[in-house]
Amino acid sequence: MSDNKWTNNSEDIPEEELITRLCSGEESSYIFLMRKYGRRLYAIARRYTNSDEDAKDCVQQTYIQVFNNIHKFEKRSSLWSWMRRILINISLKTLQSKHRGQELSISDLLPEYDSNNCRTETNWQFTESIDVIISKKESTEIVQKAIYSLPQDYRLVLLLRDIEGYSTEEVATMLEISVSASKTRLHRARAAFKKLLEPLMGV
Amino acid sequence: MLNCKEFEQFIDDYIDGSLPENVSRKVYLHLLACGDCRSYITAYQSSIEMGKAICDKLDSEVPEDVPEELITLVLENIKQKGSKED
Repeated sequence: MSDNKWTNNSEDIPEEELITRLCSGEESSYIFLMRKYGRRLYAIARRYTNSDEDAKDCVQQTYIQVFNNIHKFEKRSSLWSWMRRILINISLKTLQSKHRGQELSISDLLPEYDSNNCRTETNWQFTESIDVIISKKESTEIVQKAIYSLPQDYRLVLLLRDIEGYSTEEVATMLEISVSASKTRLHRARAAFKKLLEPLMGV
Repeated sequence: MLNCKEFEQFIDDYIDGSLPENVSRKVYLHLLACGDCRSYITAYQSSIEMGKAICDKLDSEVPEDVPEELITLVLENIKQKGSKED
């Protein structure tokens, strides 16, 4: 097999073969893996860190960790899932080391009730389908702004559970919180996120 | 009969279908009677759907090229580690 095939990513390589070559330390397989997943990993890291520089550092650290530990990869998941988990753990550690700055209060974003415990919020009016709403450029901006407006403890749970698709138990493990705290935070995060998306619905 | 505030605590388990039968029935009865909560749960689920769809779209739009600087830095780091172990 020519080195060119490995480094230009014009063809895909069977995962089993790729892992074997990574384990044997072939530089061309390292380059192949970085070219194949580098940008996808960067997009995820950017979502967590909200910083280009931190996202780049996280991707770099992820690859170093992956290459140094590839022989420990047990193939219980795909290589991508394993790498993504490493990246997210590194991104979470990076966030822990940063000063949080001013955050919105979650209580200001939660549902409101009257004295009879009945809802007092304005209902969403769906004048367009979800697919149409999603396809609009301003929707992307509003969703991104909403995600970054959530207080960090809630944003992380929402990203891990609803965007990455980890289970409540996995989220609890990754954030080192109890399962019940994970569930409570998820509910508040979803309620707050819904409130922050109101500009999309003309509310 | 549940009120809206009591209904709120069961929303996620109701969506997941993980509520016990007796509680699920109470939630269902509240939804039948309360238009505001019907509207709320639709908006709640839609916002999850829109968040996921837009993040997936952003991920899929990421360009294919990877900075050569990243590749160089990672390879250098791996080589340094290798030479220290030799």
